[in-house]
Amino acid sequence: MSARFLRVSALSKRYGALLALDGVSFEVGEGQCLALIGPNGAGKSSLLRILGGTARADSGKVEGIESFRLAYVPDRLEFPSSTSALDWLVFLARLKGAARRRPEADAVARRALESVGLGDVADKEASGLSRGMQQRLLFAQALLGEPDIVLMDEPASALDPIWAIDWKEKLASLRRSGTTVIFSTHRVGEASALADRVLLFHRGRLLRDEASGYWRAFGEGGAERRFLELVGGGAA
Amino acid sequence: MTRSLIVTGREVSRISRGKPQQVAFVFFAAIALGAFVLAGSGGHAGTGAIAAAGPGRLAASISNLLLVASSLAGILVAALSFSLDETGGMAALVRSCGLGRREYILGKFAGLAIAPAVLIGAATIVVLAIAERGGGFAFLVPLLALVLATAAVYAAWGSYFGTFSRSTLAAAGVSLAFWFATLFLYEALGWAIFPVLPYRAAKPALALFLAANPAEALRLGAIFLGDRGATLGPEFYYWQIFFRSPMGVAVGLAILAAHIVVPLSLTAAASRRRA
Repeated sequence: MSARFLRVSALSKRYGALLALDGVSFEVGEGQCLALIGPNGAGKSSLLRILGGTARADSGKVEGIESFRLAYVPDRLEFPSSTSALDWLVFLARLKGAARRRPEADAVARRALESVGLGDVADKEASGLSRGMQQRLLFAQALLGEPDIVLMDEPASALDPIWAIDWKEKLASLRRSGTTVIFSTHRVGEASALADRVLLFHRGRLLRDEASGYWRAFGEGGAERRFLELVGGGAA
Repeated sequence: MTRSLIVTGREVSRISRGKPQQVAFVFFAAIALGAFVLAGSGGHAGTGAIAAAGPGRLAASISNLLLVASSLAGILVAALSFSLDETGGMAALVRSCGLGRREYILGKFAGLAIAPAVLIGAATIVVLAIAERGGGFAFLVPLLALVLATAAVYAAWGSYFGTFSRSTLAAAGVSLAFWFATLFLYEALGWAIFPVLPYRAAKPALALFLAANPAEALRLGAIFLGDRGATLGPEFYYWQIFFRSPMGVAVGLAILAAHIVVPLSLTAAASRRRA
């Protein structure tokens, strides 16, 4: 069986006067983990939204994505009112085909909630949960339906230190199971520690596409300094 | 199709659990009950559209209120729901699950249109429980059909405004303006123009007047259904004869379908533009 590839070619996206993505090209192999780093407005979220099928590119193409079972974790979500965390997950479990009938979907959703430590708030309104809990809930929905590519937009930005460690363990577990992962983060250290490759974006352009060892070689403070050098002090 | 139904089920479940919706349920039930009981109280026919289906002037007023309320509820609930899903990211997340835009829009719209049906259906059961005091099925069935059609048509336009607008506040504002214009301004304009038109021009003008506005299509449809077109003028009587024929019924249903399909197609286009 040949390995699958996701190929992004000359992708561009504009929001009014803002050029969010400017001719971005790269490839990801099956089972690889990519970290996207860059200052705010660099184009990371736009790229993930296009890959996730929730936004359209103005030009360029994405090849191979249709051969993957995809899961997308947005950076944040306005959860619908009058919907408990459990109901929200049951809905998505059924939509993703992880379960056909309500009792089966209930069991799948409860397991997903337990896996991110939200079992005791299953019946609480999702919109009333803390930001960190909501981020865990968003991660839980990504695990439904056994995806083989997971796209995550700053998935750990609101997590407390305990759940940030748990998230890293879950990401490692996804990688062990052969799942392709692409995630964005502001933390260079986190990116180089968790990913195979780190893609640095600035003002919509892909500045560097390096193996994570490149960044690790600078050491903790050195990697941050190198990041600032490349993006010109961090101004977006 | 199956996944559209999952979206429909979620909408019905969510709407039936919301506090504001529960208050609306009680409101609808009270109006339906009042309309039903008063329909049995006798008296001469009123001038309102639903007077065609019920005998009392007061009952007709209450029925008109029900029409106004169902159109308002239909458009606002849909506009807010679609807008919150679009601006809050839920629509995008659902699409990332592989659900097509049309599947999502159709599923959601069906849920938003079914919710009032469930609500009014529940109210009807209450009403029928005391049927001996009321006007019976003859009054209720056309009324319910009309109210459900109104809610569906206005929910379709609400879907468009909710998807098209950049903020929830704008979606609510545009929806209210549309609702007011189609329900009140349009009718006032029509009644100002018709008396001065020659008979030959009035006939096609009335057809356009009927077909272009969902509120008028539904209002006059009810009048024609109740065989009261002649009281409004010869051109109304002409179209009443047509709309009561088998061909007319088909055309009437096509007009109703167009008032749902056109805004839903615009919703899909607006959703594509947002991406």
